[in-house]
Formats: sequence, C-alpha cells, structure tokens
Amino acid sequence: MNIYLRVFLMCHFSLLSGCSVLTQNQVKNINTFAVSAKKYIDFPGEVLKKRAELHLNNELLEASQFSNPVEINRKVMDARNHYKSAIRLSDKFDLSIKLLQKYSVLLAALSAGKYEKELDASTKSLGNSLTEAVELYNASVPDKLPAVIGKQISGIVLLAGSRITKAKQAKALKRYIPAGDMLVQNTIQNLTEVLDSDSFAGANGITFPGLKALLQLEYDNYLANYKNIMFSDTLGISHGSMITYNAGLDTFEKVEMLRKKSVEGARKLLRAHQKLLAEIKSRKNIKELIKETQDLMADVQELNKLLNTFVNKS
Amino acid sequence: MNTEILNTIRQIREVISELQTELNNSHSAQEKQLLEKALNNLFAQENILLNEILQAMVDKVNAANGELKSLVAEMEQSAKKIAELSGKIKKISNVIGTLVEITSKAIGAGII
Repeated sequence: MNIYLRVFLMCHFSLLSGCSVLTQNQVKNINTFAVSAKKYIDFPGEVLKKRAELHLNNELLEASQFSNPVEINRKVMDARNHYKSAIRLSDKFDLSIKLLQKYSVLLAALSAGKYEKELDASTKSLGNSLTEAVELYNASVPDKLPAVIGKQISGIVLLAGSRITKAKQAKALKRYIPAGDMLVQNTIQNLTEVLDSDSFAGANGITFPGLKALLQLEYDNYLANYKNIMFSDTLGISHGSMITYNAGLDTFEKVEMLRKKSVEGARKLLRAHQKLLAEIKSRKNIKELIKETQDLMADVQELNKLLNTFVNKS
Repeated sequence: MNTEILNTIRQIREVISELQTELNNSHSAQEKQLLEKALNNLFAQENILLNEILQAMVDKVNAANGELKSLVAEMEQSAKKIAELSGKIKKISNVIGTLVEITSKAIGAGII
C-alpha cells in the first residue's frame, strides 16, 4: 500500500512540477486586450455610416436646386440607393473587428479562472463527505485516522485538477497569441491605413483615397453646394437655413473626431496585443518564478503531509 | 497624395459646380431640364466611383478575415476541450464523493 501510494503521489508531484501556468501579468494583459477590443467594436463602421449620412444630406441639398419633377425624383432615388449601398458596406466594414473581438473573448475565456472555481466547489463537497466518513470510521475502530484526511484528499483532486487545467490553458494561449499576432497586426494596419492615410493600395494594385480624404471631399462638396445653391439665392438666406448650415458644419467636425478616435483606438488595440505577445514570450522574472515555485512547494508540502499520514498509519 | 480615382471625382465636381452656377441663371424650362439631367448624370458617375472606393476599403480591412476565422475556430475547439477536461475532473471528484457517502452510510448502518 505504501509503495503504491508513494508512486501515485510521486506521479502527481512530477505532473505538477512540469505544469507551467500563466503569471498574473499575462492574465492582466490578456484582459486589457479583451476589454479594449470589446470597447472598440462599433467605431470604424460608424465613421463610414456617418459619411454615408453626410453624403445623403449633400445629395438632398443638390436635389433642392432642381425644378423638374422627373429629375428631382431621379436624384432622390439615386441618393437613397447610394445611401443603402453605403450602409451595407459599413456593416461589412466591421467584420474584421468583430472577428478580433471574438478572438479577444476567447483569449479571455482561455485565461479565466472559472474552471478552478468550479473544481473548488466540487472538491469542497467531496472534502465534507470524506470528513463525515472519517468521523464514522474513527467512531467504530480503535486505530483512528487523522480528522483532516478528508480535506487533504479533496485537496489533491483540486490541486491536480486545477494545475492540469491551468497548464492546458497556458499551453493553448502560448500557441494562439503568437499565431494571432500577425493577423491582428495585418488587420489593424489595414484598418488604420484605410481610416487615416490619404490613400491606400487595393487588392488589384489600384490606389484608392482613404476615409480621411473622402470626408474632406464630402466637406468641400458641402461648402460648394451651399455656395452654389443656398447662398446664391437672390431672395437672401433665411435664419433657419443658416442654423441648418451651422449644424452641418458641426456634424463634419464630430465625424472627423470620431475618425481620429477610431484610429487612436485601433493603435491602442495593436499596442495591447504587442504587449500581450511580449509578455507571453518573455521568460518569467525572478519574482514570478519565486511565486510559482512557492505555490508549487506549498502544493508539494500538502502532498507530503498526506503521504506521511498514510505511511504512519500503515 | 491624390489618387487617380479621387482626381476624377474632383474633376467631376468642378463641372458640377459650374453647372450648378449656370442653373442659377435664368434659362428656359427646357434648358433647365437639360442642365438638371446633365447634373444627375454627373452625380451618378460620382456615386459609382464612391461605391468602388467603399468596396475597396471593405476588401482591404477584411483581407485577413479567412485566416482569422480559422484561428478563432481552432481556439473555440481548445476552449471546449479544456472545459470538457475540467468537467471530467469535476465528475471524478463527485464520483469519489458519492462513493464515500455510500461507504459512510454502510459504516453507520454496521454493514461494514
């Protein structure tokens, strides 16, 4: 019995000592990335939607200059169709961000301590059952077992279970974070290029204007439309029209601010992932190693206590 | 840097601006209709080019989506396996607990 027990416990020891788990810093960085990604989700597509609204407003303004009903109707219909198409594209624009968010949620799930908590609850119940059994056993035999043995056995189940789970989680994250880094980098670089640069290269090699240039174009059109249509009215311009004009200028400023914030957010997201990758790749520092060793030693001491209990009893 | 497509849109806009100014001058209803028709054709051309730009933006941003989807699917599988492992350990703990309970009752009843 002693030999089997020793072998069993030694196996546990070697299993536990080989388990590398995540440090607190690593978990913290994973959560920072996950929170940033979650907060970021709606921004980029929203800038595109706002641009579509500004363009629709410009088109309706242009239609207001017409007097022929056929041409007015054609202009309004064209404007509506373009708006619908732009909104559909805005939704597609967010697909990559949604995938990045899913990726971050999975990283957070893989680093979560929920499995350990579940095991803790389950083994606590086991500990209580064992304690009751030991009390009954001790009541019926002269050679008594230590009262704490129930807790110790349940402790082993928890210890081994949570260490193995945590090690599996760490192994998965150490594989997925470097694998995801290039994809995260590409997606965010492409996103910032589209959002912030004057131009970007399309898949077919053609250079297209970026969103910054497109918003500037829309703003120039807005000013030109007011100059050509509203301000040239020989009857003068009403106070209400001036208020509308001013509100339009405000909207342009807000959309430009939203665009800048989106770029800023994308860059923060990229930095958070780079930090995460560096943290996952880095060798553990002395403080973390000491903490992990201390945890492991505490686990081993628990095992030894149990081993001695059985050895002394047999 | 101005792109070819943006230059084309700006050129269209210059013509639009000229036609809009012209439309403000007094013309016959027929002339006005012709001007409005010409303007509508230019607006439509502009919208075609804008759609092309927006589509290129979407394609650019989603370029890595295929690989990202595969990675996410792989991660979902891993998370599922870990949850299953944790579930199995929990089950073992519960089975031992039940066995102990049965044994306790047997001892209590004097069967063992």
